[in-house]
Amino acid sequence: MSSASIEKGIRMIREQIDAPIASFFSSCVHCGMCADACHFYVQTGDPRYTPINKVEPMRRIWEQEYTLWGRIKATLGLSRKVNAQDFEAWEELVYDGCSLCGRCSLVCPVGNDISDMIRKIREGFAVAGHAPEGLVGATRRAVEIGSPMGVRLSALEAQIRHLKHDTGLDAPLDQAGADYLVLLSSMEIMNFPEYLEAIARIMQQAGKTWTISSRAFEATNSGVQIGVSDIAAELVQRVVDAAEELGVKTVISPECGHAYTAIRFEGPNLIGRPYNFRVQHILEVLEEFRQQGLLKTKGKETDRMTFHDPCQLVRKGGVIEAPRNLLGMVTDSFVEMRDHAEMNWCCGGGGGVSANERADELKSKAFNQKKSQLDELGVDTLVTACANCRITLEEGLERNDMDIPVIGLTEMLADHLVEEPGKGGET
Amino acid sequence: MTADAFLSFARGTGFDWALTIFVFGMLLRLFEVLSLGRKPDLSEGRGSGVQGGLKTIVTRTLPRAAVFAREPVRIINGYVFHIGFLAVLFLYEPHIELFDAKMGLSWPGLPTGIINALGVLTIFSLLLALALRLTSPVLKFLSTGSDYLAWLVTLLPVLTGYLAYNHMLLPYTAMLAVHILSVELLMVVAPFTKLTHMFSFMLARWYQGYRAGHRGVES
Amino acid sequence: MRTIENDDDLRAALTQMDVTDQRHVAALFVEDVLEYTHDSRLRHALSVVIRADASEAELKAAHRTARAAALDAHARCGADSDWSDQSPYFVARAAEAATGKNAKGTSSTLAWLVAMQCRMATCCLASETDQESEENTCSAQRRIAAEFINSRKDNGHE
Ligand code: SF4
Ligand code: SF4
Repeated sequence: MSSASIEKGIRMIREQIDAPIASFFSSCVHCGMCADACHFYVQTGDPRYTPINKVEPMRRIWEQEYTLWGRIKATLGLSRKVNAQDFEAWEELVYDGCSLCGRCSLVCPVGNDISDMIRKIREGFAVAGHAPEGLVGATRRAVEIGSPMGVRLSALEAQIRHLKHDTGLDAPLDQAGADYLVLLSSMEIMNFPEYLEAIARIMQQAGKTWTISSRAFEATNSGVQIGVSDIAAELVQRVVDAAEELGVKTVISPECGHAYTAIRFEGPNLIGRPYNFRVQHILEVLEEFRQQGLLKTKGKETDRMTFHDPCQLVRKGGVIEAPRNLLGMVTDSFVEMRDHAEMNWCCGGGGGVSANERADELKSKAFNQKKSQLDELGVDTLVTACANCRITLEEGLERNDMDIPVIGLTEMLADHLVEEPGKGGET
Repeated sequence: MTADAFLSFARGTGFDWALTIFVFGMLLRLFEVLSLGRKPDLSEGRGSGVQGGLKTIVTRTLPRAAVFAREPVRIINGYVFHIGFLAVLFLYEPHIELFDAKMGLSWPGLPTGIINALGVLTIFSLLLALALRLTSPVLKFLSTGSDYLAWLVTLLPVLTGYLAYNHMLLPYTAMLAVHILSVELLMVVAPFTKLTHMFSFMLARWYQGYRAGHRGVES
Repeated sequence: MRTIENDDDLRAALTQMDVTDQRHVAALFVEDVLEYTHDSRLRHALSVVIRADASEAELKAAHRTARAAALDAHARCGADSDWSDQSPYFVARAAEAATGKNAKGTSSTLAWLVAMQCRMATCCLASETDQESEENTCSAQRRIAAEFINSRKDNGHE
């Protein structure tokens, strides 16, 4: 990398440092507790994966630029400036070795939000050209095509045709004035089209109108994952424009963890103004329907099942009760993992890790944390609410010879809906 | 220099200097943090940031069960030396008299026998902390010279206080002077090491708690 | 002679079958779209289902094989993917469902879920204007189900 781009990276990291970040660095006592919270450290035993170490270059920049003592030390040659080798060495820790799961932030005794620090240091690594290829490609496609996986509108249209043909249900495109604007993740379109059908059936039963924007159907935000705020803002703006143009009251983020926090909490800060519509995760919408008596289900699953909390939903989005209440509608044999809800362990594939092929081996090591949780519990079925968690879990289970099917919660609920005669099913 | 002159320096000029460095150093550190500011959160809140911030300042004092189970010794030991240190600092009668003389504030203390025992406990706890730091792969990896310095300047006041009280090693007057100097060393070093956490932890907890409160998530 | 005219009929007919029969029909559905994949593991997995005397263990192994095939074929999060290349993935998912447990307590039956996955496999290939292939798959499924029911009758099963 040229020294110019390293300079840019350093400048960007410097710009990210605000009072919270400075208070975190000032407070760190090197107690190492955060390591015990992180599946990457716990499963590899490699101390480099200690969360606070992942932002060490940022700490040095902070100390040298924003503290008197640090400046003196730097002038006296007692501390070394961050250089290209540091970017080289930390790239793997910052991207491959962190799923931005936020677990470390919850255990730090002095209250450091380490996960957010890592999210921020990525901004510097991305501009310095030190981001993994997989994420760079995904981000480029998100900007150029509108989907990190290169999913085009025609694919969605094909699915909508299929939906109409096989179930008689419609997924209306660009319908102004609908109650809900539904976003999808590319993962759902490509791998789990059942989600779209589930939404169509649930909305029909609840008697709500909904629409998908042909210009902004993608929910995920690669800009947030790679750490390029300009791009992240542009991707958010597309959804905002679509929602405002269609005049919807609520935008629904799909079964994807980070898509939700990106649009719900980061979004307004990225574009610099509040929205004039609400953003809800699909599980929040379903929970509202349940409370209003709009969801009618029949039958209960008899399999012993548990719920894998997507990190972004529980730890950064606060959606904890909804999935449990919803599961209660369709099963009596629900059991909790030992560490669940806000202390759940990550599947290992979040925060852009699963988009980064280079990280595959590390990701599968980190999965062993999930494996041990599941081994202890012995369940027949695993339910979750994130398409990325779902594939990561399926892959991990497969590699470990564990025969546990993984299902999306929305889909499972839709499967239990009381069919209303004359609706759906016909061609 | 006689022991008496030594003691009076420690009590007089030495202390004044140390206190000045401590107070201005800490204020500077806090100013360095706060002056960076932060942007307002424009996202629709689900709860109160202020409540979340205040709550986290308190609740983060206790560990989460899931992590406690992994490192019980390290965590309990952390409580022991924090509580032990604060107890001998603030609940030893002669210390309280000193606070009274300097600030006009006083409060009830603990019997000296208990303070003496707490002192021993704190010393052993700090030694264990060092042993853990030298043996745990994570702690060893994270530790810098500054961590060991912070450890040393924390240990010295407790150790010298214990020696002075029990008339060990040096004549009382000389040991007392060494004790006071060690406190001054702690005060001088604190603003330039991780010991700033004695104040800044509240800011850190506040910021994380504020954000969590706004989002309506656990913290 | 039983005929199946539309999807309502098909769904009803599938719902009436027991799991073994459903599995059998489902495997026939998957065979019908098997040309869309090069994964030879799937053919073997299906042959286990179609054999009447397959044991629990064999079925389980077939299921595992199908799932491995599906995971191998899935579009990776954030990877450059093409909808028209997803066909093998859906064929594998169909085989996975056909060899898997019956969804209990839900409104969808195993064979119906398999039928849907098979249609999705054709849906990927259908170009934007051509919907015929998916319709072909649908009518093939109706024919397969009807033939199966009729052959059962002929054998005095009913
Ligand atoms: S848990 Fe917090 S204080 Fe301890 S090492 Fe990690 S960041 Fe520092
Ligand atoms: S956010 Fe999660 S993955 Fe990243 S360092 Fe913290 S605990 Fe580890």
